[in-house]
Amino acid sequence: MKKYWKLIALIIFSGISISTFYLVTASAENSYPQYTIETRSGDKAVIKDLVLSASSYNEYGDYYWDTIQIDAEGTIGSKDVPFAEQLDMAYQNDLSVQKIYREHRGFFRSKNWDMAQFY
Amino acid sequence: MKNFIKLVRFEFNRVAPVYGVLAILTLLIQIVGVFVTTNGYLNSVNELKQMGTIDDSMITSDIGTMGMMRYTSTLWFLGPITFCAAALLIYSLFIWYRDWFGKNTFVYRLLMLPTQRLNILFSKVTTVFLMVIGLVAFQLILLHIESNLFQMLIPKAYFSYANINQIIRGSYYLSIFYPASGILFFSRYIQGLLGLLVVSTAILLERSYKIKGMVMGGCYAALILLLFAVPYLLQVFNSSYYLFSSEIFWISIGLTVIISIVSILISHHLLNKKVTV
Repeated sequence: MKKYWKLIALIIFSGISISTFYLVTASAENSYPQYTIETRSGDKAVIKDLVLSASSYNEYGDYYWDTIQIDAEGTIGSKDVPFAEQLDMAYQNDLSVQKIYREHRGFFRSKNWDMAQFY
Repeated sequence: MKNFIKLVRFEFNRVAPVYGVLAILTLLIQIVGVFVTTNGYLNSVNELKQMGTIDDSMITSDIGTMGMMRYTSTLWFLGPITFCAAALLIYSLFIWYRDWFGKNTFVYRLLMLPTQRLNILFSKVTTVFLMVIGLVAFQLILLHIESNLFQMLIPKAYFSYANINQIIRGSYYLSIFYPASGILFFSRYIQGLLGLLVVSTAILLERSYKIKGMVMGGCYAALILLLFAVPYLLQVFNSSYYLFSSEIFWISIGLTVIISIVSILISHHLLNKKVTV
């Protein structure tokens, strides 16, 4: 056992350091501001399907933080969605559009993902 | 399995002193760098003050604030990382050739060991991989230390705070080493492991067929690079997004598994039948 201490130390050290970063630090620090839509007056049902896509930056505006979506329910950050959808956010951060192209992959292949060109 | 662990221990202990030096060198250079950078910054603050700029906000708008976000793009910080990366790259080749060209052809004894010869390959690849992971983990600790040092050394008015996540996302090079999520980290480093495996297969080809093998090894490595590039090339040739990024992710996972198996099979054959001392 004594011969193995260097190897064991290296493995334990790396394991703790990296897993702490991904399990604790990154998830704790990756919080995004919570926005909600407040109903002052009128019919709440009208904005049922309204989603505001936004990006958040740090206070100096030089660091890109996260893409967030604000709907009637509250705020959804990229960490709240399943892994595959998180990856696809690189091209399309609107989850409702992502849902459409998951259902019609063949149609969306080789198409520009700029939704302005579809509507 | 037991033989494999013994071999890894052997391989690691043999490089441990050099590896330790590498880690300590990184620590020293980066910590000294913090002090030097801080000093330089505070000097220019003092100069401005002597010239008559008293207002802190005027000073920071002139020379900016100081903190980790700025430090991570300096040579003090990136130099040791580049050096370690280069050292480990070279060692991933040297770990094989030292056995052939060292004193009394050590590889002869390695190949004579009463164990699966594939274990030699696995132990070498694992050792280099653990060395990479170890330094990557060490750099995370260093980030915490340096971040705290800056906080202590720089007066509040000139200090810009960033948490570890922001420091990493704010730096192009650090984001490569620490991808945004644990799954991505895992998949990226598994691909790194595959890279080591492919390099080892290429070296074994060279050791088996000499000059001819060197060409074969080069072709093999190039072919694999090309395979991994195919999903991205599809994007380029279709002038638009042909694959979704989640699909590219799953394709590269699949490629990693298949190429690993192929590499191991080739290496197994070479080690048992073709390799010469």
